[in-house]
Amino acid sequence: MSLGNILKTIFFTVFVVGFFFIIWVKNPFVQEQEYPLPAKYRAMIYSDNPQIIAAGRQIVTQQCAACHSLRYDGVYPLSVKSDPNYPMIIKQFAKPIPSDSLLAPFHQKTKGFAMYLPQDVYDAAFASELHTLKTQFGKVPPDLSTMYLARGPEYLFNWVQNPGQIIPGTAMPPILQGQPKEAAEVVAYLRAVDTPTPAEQTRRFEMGVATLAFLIFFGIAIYLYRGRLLDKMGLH
Amino acid sequence: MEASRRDFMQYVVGAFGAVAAVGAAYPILKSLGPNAAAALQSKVDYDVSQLKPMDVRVTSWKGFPVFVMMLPTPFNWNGPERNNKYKNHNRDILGNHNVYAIIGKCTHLGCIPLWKPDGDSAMNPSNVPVFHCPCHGSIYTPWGDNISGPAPLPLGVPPQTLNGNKLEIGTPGFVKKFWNPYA
Amino acid sequence: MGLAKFIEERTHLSQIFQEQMVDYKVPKNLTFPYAFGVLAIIAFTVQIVSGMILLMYYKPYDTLAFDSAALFIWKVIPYGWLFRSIHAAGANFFLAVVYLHMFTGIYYNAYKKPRELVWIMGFIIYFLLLLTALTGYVLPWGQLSYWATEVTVEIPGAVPGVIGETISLLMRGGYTLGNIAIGRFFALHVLILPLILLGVVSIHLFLVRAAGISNPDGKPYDKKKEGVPFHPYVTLKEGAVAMFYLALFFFFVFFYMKEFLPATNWEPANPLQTPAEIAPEWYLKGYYAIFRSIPNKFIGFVTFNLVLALILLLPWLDFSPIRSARRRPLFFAMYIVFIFAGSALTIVGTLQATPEVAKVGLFFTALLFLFFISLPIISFIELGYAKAKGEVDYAKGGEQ
Repeated sequence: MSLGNILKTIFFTVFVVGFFFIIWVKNPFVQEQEYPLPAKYRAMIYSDNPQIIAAGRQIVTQQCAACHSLRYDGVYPLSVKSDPNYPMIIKQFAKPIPSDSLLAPFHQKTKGFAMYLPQDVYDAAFASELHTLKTQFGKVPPDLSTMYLARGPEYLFNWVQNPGQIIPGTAMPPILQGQPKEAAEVVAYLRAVDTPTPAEQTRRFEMGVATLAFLIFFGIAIYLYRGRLLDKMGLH
Repeated sequence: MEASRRDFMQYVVGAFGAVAAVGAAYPILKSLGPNAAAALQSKVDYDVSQLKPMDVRVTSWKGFPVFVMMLPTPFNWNGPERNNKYKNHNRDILGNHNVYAIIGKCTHLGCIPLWKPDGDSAMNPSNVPVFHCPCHGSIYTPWGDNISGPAPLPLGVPPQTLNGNKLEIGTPGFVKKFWNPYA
Repeated sequence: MGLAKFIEERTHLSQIFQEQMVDYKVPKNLTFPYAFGVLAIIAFTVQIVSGMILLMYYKPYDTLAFDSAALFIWKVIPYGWLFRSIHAAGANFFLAVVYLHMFTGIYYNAYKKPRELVWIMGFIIYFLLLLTALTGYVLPWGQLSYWATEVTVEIPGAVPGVIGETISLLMRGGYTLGNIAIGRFFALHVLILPLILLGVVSIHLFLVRAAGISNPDGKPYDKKKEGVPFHPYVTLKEGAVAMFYLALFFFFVFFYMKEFLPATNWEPANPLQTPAEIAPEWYLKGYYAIFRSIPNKFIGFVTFNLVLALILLLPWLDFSPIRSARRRPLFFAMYIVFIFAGSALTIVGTLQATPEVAKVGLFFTALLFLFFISLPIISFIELGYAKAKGEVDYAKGGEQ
């Protein structure tokens, strides 16, 4: 290839790679809002420690569940759980969702399955409790099932301690104000609901490495085979 | 020399291709199979504390209708037995247990037999408790052994164990292996 | 093998293969970007297969959709997480490859005679693909799904009067994005558009074979002397490239899904609350940036549709008989302006809508139009130049 061709190839390659890097990996033109998360609490959140997760779940079922549901792990607001119809609705309509090893200890009575109510059943069966919550807060407090993925640990750690600082005028009170350890436990639990267990993460990592290695070697094998065929045909 | 090297590469590429096909098919097929929630259907607990003698309750296990039975103690059964390979097959498995579960699906064409605790006029003698299938008239003993009619085999018996007041269907215990005449 | 002989006697497949793939000669100097077409087919196949699995479990109903994707497919169905990741990443890779394929065609002037029909079919594929991506994005029913689609359906409303309202009304099937919209977007995304796409892609491939593959140098070549057999010269080279493409693709699937399953879309759709930042996905952000930069909504709407129309009309805008940016320094310079403006507009689309950003957007929109305007001018100059040198025979309509 001539110098011109080499330069053009380099230019276009860098251009394309750079463009997709900006669009898909790190966009230097957009500033993401940063929320502080001290290293000590970050370690707690990412620890996959069953005790921390259990402590977090306890806080969620006792405090957050005053207003929030977390249907993917079978957590319902306290007013919903004290509805006289609650046991019958769960028995008849709840779909058992298998829990992974970190969440199964919380569902021993149901053999390690979380009792998940579909959205429309939940909204209809407990319409009056939800309406009361809506009147109280202006809207039904959102379900927390995917909150960790939607907001991220830094945001949530700060949010549960002082929501008013992040969104002034929000209807959520500062439930865990000045309680960073408890906040980290809550976020660790929310993370456990939305993240596979370390064993499963390792499995997926290994699957990925195996797939990548396989494809690269397959590509090399095809290229070498092509070389042999072309040599045989006298064209290369 | 050249030809064999080319053939070698051909086999290498072919082998890669086969692995790729298997590797792609594996997650697809696994995703179609039963997930962990289906495991819940494989172990069903039944509270027998409210059962009275000669009671039959219907529940479900792995998609089969299941009869949970309570027989009185002692229980003498004077009905006939069929003289073939499966004579008293279920009675031997279930022994003297008066609380047990059998699969309520006729081994002929799959209907659910009816429980006749006071006997059935189609039988001789006509006062012994039997299961009578309404579809084509097969008759089974209280343990599910087939004694009359077109049914070829006794009713199925799931693995089960009695744990206090709970009959755990699907957990091996006094019945260890699943007798499956439907497969 | 007996089976092979059985099939061979009844189909003559190996004869067809020999005629169509081995005796079929192509230029030896095909460059790497010529592989993007095959990669597009592979990306399409990946979407179809992963989509088929998702289709078994997804529920197109407003109260069921989010949970069917975020709970059942993601956590309960074995390997559901893998197929959802493949489909989400695959959509982005499919569009990336199609854009690269398009820009390759523009660079080598593969839209000129006798390939104008190929170009038109390709444009139809591109447009249908954008619709497929749009209709698909709404299905998981997250906050971004709902609001990005709401914004996109509102854009035709920029056409003043009854026409604009009717278009938006027809797209949604009502006044709000609800179950009727989910139902029709689902049908479009899963069956109607893919079937049409399959048909148009087939026609596109047939036309490519009918016209012959273009030459990167834009010059005629002697098939007999300089051509190489398509198989194995091109097929296996593209096969190897496809494996490396899949390796890059699966790297994202297994290790970096953050961008393709964006955080805001993990929140269930709430018709009463708009998230802080809504915008369409990157493949539409360029058009979105153009639309946003122009104060008048209707003119903005016309402008970005004009860009689409100009892309379609490239074979006639650029009527110079000389082909390939390799031999057209003026065209090469304007091509750099074009890709730079298009990329910049996409990045502008990621920024918050402020007046300064709008000005930047206007600047790059102008650059983009500069490219299209320059084409007839450059063609005119090159025609004159070629005529003066007596190089081109006009009766034959230029080079092949």
